[in-house]
Amino acid sequence: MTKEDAYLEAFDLYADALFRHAYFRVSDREKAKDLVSDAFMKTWDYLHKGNTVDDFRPFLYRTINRLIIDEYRKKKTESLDALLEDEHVPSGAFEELIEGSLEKLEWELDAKQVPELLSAMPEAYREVVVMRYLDGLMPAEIADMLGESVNTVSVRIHRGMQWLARYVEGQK
Amino acid sequence: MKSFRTQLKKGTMSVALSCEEREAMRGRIVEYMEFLPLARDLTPITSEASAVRSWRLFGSRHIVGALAVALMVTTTTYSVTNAATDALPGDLLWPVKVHVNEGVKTVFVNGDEAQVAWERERMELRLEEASSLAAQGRLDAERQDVVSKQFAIQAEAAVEKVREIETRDPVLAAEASAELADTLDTHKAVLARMVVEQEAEGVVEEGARTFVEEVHRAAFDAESLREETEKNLSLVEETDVATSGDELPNEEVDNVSQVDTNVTDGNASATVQTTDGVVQEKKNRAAQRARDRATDLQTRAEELIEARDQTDKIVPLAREQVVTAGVLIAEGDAALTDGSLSRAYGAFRQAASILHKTIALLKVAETYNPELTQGMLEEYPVASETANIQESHGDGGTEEVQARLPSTNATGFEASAAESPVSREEVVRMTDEVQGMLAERKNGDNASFNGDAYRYLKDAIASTFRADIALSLGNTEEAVILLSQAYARATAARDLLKGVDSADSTSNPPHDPALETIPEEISPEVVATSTLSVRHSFDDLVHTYEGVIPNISCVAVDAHLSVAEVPHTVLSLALTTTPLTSEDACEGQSVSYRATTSAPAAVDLISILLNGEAVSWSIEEVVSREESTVPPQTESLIRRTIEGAQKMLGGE
Repeated sequence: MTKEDAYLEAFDLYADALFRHAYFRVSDREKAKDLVSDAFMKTWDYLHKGNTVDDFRPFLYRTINRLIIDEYRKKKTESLDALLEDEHVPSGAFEELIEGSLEKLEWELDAKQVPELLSAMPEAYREVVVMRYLDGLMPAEIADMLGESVNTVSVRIHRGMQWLARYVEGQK
Repeated sequence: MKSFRTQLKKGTMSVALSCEEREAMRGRIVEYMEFLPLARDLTPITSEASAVRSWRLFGSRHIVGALAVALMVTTTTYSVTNAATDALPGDLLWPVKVHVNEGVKTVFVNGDEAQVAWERERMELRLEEASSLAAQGRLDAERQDVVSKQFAIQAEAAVEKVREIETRDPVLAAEASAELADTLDTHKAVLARMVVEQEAEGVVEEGARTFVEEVHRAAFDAESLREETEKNLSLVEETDVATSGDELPNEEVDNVSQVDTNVTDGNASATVQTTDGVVQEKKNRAAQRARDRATDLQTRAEELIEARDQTDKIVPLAREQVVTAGVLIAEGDAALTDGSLSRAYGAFRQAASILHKTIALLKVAETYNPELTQGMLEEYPVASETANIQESHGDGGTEEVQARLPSTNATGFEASAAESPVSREEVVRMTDEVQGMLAERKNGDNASFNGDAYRYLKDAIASTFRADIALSLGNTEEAVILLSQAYARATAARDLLKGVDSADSTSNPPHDPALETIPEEISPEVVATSTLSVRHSFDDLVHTYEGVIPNISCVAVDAHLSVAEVPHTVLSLALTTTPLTSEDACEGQSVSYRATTSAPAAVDLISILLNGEAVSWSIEEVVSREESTVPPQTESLIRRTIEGAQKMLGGE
């Protein structure tokens, strides 16, 4: 398979997922389309310079994530870091914490609520929750894409789930 | 149990690209692949849709001839478009570069920010081409006509794009217009400088001069646009804040236009809070974006510096700019922490402006005549308000002394400046002499004198530069005045240094025999002044502030005006006392001062500092500013010319 074929196959495989990912990150359909298109073009630029991409999926997610962050920067009113103060949760407790949050949510969450929930969620949490549960990426993969530690990512996911649980509770 | 993931999937699956959207996106991507085929595979990827689009692009009458020839030497789109990348106006492949390479890219650029950046980049490409032609002495009338037409189209497109986004994203519009103005200012200065240099050698092409004028006009328009977009942001604030009663944010003076204390209704208050929040968010975003831009440019400048030969003279000078910008970014960060968003925005924007110019000059140095560019930076080494003065010490070591310098149109010598015309060579000789004297200073005991001399020197250099621009625009009269001012400033610096050297010297007696009997040192005594009375007059574009400091003895007063423009044009008057060596002048007395500067009519005096301490003042208007009959355009032109020189120097 040529590079061109592999690239177009990646488009066929991941364009929809990337669009969905982008949509729930920026809450704007047209902007999400632009982001997907830009992500593919930037990937092509990378190939055009003589580079090789072994696995398009993480590469495309990394690329679109950078574009989304740029997009977010245009609108941000406070830094992501300010939203996420480190609480030094011991490592190893993350999965348990996440699962604990999940249990409660799973009984109470209505699928129809999801778009609204994601739209209302703070960007710092939405980013990792979408990657983890919508895109099905593992915390280690997300950490790699975001350039963060696995622990940091796990804490963010956990807090995102806590936020969701509180939000759902408040909706009742 | 309902799986969260399942619920999430279920809830989000309705969000998907439609078949049409998907196909359209795929088609564009295939076109893009065709436009940029992989280097190892020169066979264009074909698709029906992209073939139709491509032929449409290639169908322009302007480029048919160029393509026909190009296709004789190469049979691939890849090679043609890549070969065209370095083409200059007048070259065979230049139309391919403009209409195909850039035209195709225009189609693929998405989003307001990317589009406005691309329009500016296209305009800058034309400027770089013109600079390249001018540097090679090839910007003749014919090529100038070609590049001028395309430059005008692209400058207009860039302005139009800013106008288009102004309503939906005023913050981006302000940022984009600032970048546009910076770009034009930088290139105007570079081109003007080239013309002057070439004129001295008698090789300048008339087309180059004409093009400088066009860029000057475009820079004028861009500056107006920047002022307008930033003002629009402020107007939004003023309108919103004016109704906000007690919820007024008190952190910034420029936020507040009027306070309506009668607003007590609860609903009104809630609305006001929301509006206030929107205003603050907008300002915060503007400041954050300006910061992002400044830090991005800082990284790029550092990369460019690293990529250069480290022994290159340009490197330390460029580093100095980066350091200055870093200081401004730090100041902006501090202002952000204090919640002073406008101040933060101003600091970040200044930093970005300095870095933008540094990058442009580094690029010029890469591409064009290195000696010319080195000369430009070397001649104007102090590119900011904060200048580093290298002082040599007896032990051979050096120490960096930070001297806070006012902006370049601090004057005081204008009155006598234009009395006799001087040549540029004389001015350069004098500034060289002062630079040499500063470099040879043996100790740091008189850092304040060094600082003053350095400031005068900087003014002289700035005036010389402004004269260069005036010359390149054919305004000989203004150039003569500016050169005279430059000479006066440089002479003042030399005299100051000579006087201090004489006083410092233990081996040489003072020149004035009367001083021989004077005690070696008389401490200045400044009795605390109450409110200073200041007379202000504005005439022929010159502001004059004068008055007396009462109850002061054994000192002379040196007065300087500095100008800043964040966000409005404002003036600061700095009064510095210096000890006298004459006993006769030590009786209790009032010491007069006088300072003048060229600035637009609509400026405000915002501070008077006496030896660095703020003092209160009352002002008496001798000539009302409103009575000025100077056409606003003239004021603006002069201010922009001054700012162009200041910006080239990196200061505001």
